[in-house]
Amino acid sequence: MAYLTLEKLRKAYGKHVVIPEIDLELEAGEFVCLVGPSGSGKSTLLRMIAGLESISGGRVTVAGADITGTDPSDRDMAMVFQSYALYPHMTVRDNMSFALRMRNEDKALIQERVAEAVEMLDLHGLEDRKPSALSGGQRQRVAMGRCIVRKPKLFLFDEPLSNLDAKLRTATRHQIRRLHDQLGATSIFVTHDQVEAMTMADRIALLDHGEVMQIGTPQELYLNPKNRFTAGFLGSPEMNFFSGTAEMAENGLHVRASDSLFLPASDARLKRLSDRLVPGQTVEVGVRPEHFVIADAPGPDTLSLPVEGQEWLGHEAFVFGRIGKQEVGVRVASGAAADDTLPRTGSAVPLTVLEDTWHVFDPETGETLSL
Amino acid sequence: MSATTAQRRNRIWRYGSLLPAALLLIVLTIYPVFNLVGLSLSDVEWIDGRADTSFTGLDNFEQLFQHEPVYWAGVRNTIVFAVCAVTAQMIFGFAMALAARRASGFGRVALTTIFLMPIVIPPIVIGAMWRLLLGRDFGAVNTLLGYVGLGPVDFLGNPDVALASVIMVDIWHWTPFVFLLMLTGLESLDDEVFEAARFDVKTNWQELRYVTIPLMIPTILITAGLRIVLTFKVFDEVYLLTAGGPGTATEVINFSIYRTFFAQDRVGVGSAMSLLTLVAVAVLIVAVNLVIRARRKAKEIAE
Repeated sequence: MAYLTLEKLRKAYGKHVVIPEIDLELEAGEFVCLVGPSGSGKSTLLRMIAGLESISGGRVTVAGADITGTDPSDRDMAMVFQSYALYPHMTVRDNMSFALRMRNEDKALIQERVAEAVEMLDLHGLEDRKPSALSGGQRQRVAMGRCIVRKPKLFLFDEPLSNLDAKLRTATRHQIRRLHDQLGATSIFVTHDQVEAMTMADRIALLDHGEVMQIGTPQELYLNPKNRFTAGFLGSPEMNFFSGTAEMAENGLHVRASDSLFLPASDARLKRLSDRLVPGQTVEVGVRPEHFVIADAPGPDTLSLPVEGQEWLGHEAFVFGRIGKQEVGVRVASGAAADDTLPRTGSAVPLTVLEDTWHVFDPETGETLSL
Repeated sequence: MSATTAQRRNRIWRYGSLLPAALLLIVLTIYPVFNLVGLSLSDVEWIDGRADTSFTGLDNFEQLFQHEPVYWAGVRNTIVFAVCAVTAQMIFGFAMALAARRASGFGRVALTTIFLMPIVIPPIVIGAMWRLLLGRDFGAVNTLLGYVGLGPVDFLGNPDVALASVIMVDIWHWTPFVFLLMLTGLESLDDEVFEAARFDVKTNWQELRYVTIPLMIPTILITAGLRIVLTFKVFDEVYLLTAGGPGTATEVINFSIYRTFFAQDRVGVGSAMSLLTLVAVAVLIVAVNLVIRARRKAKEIAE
């Protein structure tokens, strides 16, 4: 029995449907990220779970109890907001203890819980400060402290890292994940940042237009995307897409458009594909930048990419160019990533694709044909 | 050097732009105050249409403190008026602002429009309207009371209820002003803080007591201060409803000054009354300012 279940959850503002129908199950102790582009309904979904947004249809249950219509204060959840939403007139201590004080908890217990949170979040010496006298990172920690002291059934995070600078964001990412494990908490984390989702989540639920496109571990979503949307959303630089007509060959797949792309495949994969593909069918194929290999010399199975620019990042490097109208990014193998061996702008590099790493999608439905 | 020329031009502009406002202040405020001080120390007689002014020292103040019971009745009434009216206006205005903020869409527009109605009605109309409503024999209020077997109450003619009636009309008139400032204050607060509060508090009262009111304190202080000072200037409502009567039941400071100065032509005593009131209000404003500043300072220290 799942810890949190969403059954046929629906949200509509009048005729405008934000979330048509979502089913989702969370196990206790899981860290789940809701990811998606803006307007995907991820924040709305979180706010429905929190009780801040009314539910147009369906059910939410936590630990077996139906909480669909209850008030946020009765749901035993705690939330970290994007702007942290600390009470500006209260000290750090009062901010953290507020919910417990409002529930007339024992004073000694409150003190103990606050002390615990201060310890965990390294907020020593800041207990009597007001939020306006804290830095962004400290405020963010106080907002987490406010949740921790309540020992809630569910932690909700609404893009809590988006107001932090890049360096602090990385550190806070680790801290949140560590706290989650330490507390044995169950968390839902909303973000539009795929890196946050990939690094923190046990499972990612990728949303688009109020629908779950795919849910699974970061590895599942990255390596075996079920559809073109998932494939394109995760990964940076983005996966490269080519459309053309598919033709089976002996040891791979030819995709022919203005240029021909050869996708080498194992026998098993080729067999599965041949069951699904009609010869000459139009398909969309996706290849991640790191799944291209720069060949030594042009050959019949290589794709020629005129180089238009480079990105040198230290531990890796990418070259970019265009084939037809399609922007193509390729990761340069780490040995060739030294600045002087990077392919120069204006030159052309011959590319081959690694066996079985590529994806084939139905251009109509966007569903994968290669899994 | 071009830098110094620019600096000088800058300075000329800075002071030059202040000049019109400064001139207005001197002509319309500072000069009259000095003039008032002069008049309050003089006896003014009108002879052949000309003012004959003679210096009499503190005679006018002696007269004011010893022999003007009507003025002191006015002082008492004005204080009662200010305390009662402002307290009620603050409570009602705040409650209405909370209601309007909770309402959504059409309800909010409707509520705001209705709540703001009294503030756009000219005082003279308000006076006439309430005189008609509160009249002893034909007033709508007494007619309604009659239906339930009460009254008639002589709202404006009975010395025991006249002041309460005038205060009631003032509350009706000025609550919208408080409502408007409070609503603006509430809307400037961070919505996410209130969303956070929805997780933390168990009752609406807790939210009001521990979140909304503390966050609204600056707005509350400024609004209350403004209302108190403005209440000391009350004149039109009293003039139109009761003209200070019956007896001294609704006498207010401004009415005494008006009568002494214009109706009785006692310019010296009238000036002394004005000056005393001016000083009292000034002290009040300074006090409110000090409280606000002390709070701000305490906040800075806490940070």
